[in-house]
Amino acid sequence: MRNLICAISLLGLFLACQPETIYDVGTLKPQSDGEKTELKDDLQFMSIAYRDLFNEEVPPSTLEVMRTAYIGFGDKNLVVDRVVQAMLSNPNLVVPSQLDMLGDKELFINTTYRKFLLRDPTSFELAYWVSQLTEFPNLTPKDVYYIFMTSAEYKYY
Amino acid sequence: MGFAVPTILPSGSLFAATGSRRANHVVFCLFAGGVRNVESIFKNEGNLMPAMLKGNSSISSDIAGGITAMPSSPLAKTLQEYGTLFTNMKFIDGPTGHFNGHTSAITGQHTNSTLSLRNNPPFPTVFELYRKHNSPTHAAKNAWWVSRSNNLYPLLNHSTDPNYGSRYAANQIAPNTFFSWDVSANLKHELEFTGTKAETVEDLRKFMDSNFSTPFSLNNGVVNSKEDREAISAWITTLQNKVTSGQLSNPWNVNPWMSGDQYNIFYAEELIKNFQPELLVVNMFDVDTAHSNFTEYCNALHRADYGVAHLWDTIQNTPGMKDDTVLIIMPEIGRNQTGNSIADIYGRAGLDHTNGDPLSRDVFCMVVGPPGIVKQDSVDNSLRTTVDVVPTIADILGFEQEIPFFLSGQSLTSAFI
Repeated sequence: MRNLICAISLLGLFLACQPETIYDVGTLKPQSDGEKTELKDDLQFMSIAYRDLFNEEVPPSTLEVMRTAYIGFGDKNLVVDRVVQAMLSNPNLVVPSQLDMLGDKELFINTTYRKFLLRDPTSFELAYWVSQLTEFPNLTPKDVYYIFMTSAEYKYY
Repeated sequence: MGFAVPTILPSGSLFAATGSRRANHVVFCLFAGGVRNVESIFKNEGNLMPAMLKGNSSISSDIAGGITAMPSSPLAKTLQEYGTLFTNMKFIDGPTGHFNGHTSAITGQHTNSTLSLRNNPPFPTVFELYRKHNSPTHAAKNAWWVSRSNNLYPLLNHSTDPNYGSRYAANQIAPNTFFSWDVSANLKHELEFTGTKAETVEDLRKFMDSNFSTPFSLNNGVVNSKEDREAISAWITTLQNKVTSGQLSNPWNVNPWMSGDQYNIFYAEELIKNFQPELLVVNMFDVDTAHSNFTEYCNALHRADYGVAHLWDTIQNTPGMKDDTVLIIMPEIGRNQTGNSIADIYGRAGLDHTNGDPLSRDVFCMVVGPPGIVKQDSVDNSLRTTVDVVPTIADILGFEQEIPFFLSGQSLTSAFI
């Protein structure tokens, strides 16, 4: 009995010493939903979107194209939507494969929340997303990125 | 119990609870960046506008070499013969600048030097008046503002008036930049959200938005309905694909090239063919080269003339717009009587537009339409003002009586049957 208790205690100690998986989010602290109250202006939005996708600052020439398109059309929602879709269609964009996404749905969703919304999903959000990826296996990683990038929360910081 | 008895107004239109229409579509062309009556309707340099104006006078010999020949007008007669020419129109009040001129024409209100060039105008535009005061409220897809450039003019799609604003704005597009090769190539995308996938994407986004505590409301631009946005987006995709594949290189076959003004009219025509909007305002701007090049100003006027004729031809060949559209053409301001010190290669002096020169306030207006609606080949020399255009549009589209405040001008009723 004592051996069992020791074994269990050692196991507990061992598990407690395992390092948590760290998601690299740079120097930004993941924020809770309640902390996002400032609306990104649209050029900010497009710049941040580019950086979130390509992990680099948007080149000035690309930003100028975005700015031109943005000023040149009155339905700003439509323009921003097209800019996001164009970024996601860029052949240079690296995204997880469909296999990787479906192979570990929780990891993909956790990473995507931190990538775009700078926070962890709630347990409800995670469960919902995992169930949707299971029910709709034709959703691609780019589709999921599109949904995140066109959500209301992504428009705020 | 009372009932509304139709009343014949002095204007001749039948008034009912929501006002009767003279036509179901209006296209208003702001022509073409500061035009003097001297070179236009008075033809001092010959008839530079043969598609719009009657008369065969030759272009002045000293500048003829600088005028590019345009294709023959697509119309059977001049635009003047399809409507009424107002020869004594004035930009009667406010600084004689382009933005002030545009603002007066599009709001129907006089401006002054306090008008900001960085903000939407303080008075509701004709787009907001049209959308709000029609019953039911009309969708943004029915009202378009096709601006020649991204500079300043996109601001005119709505005002800062709290009773109006962006919720009643026009759809605004600056097609020369929006459909440039760079923008078209960079906005191409392959994501396809149709059918079940579209529903799934929408449901997932609603889920995300329902879990976010700060509601997002777009208040910085026009809002189209989901269906209208999809239709507009599809139209944009079609045109951007044509741009990048070279199909829209000089579609009018103008030798040697189409001007920016002509392209602006071309894209307005694409809107007309695709959406048959009830209200479309388009401007042109190339004649403003007059500041430094008088002959090129005349050339730009000649090109703008062809552009407007092409526009009317398109309207009259578009089902839904044919014989049910009134086209209003008017410069927003004139130009000075006295030239400046900049001479072009033909020795002609440039023309500015300053507040103190009366000719900068003289413009013309042409109201063109089908014979059952607009008087044909008619001339009106009475004094009218550029702020008369908004009441005229309201009169044509049947919402003049619904506007709850005083408009500075009056409808150009003498143009109508």
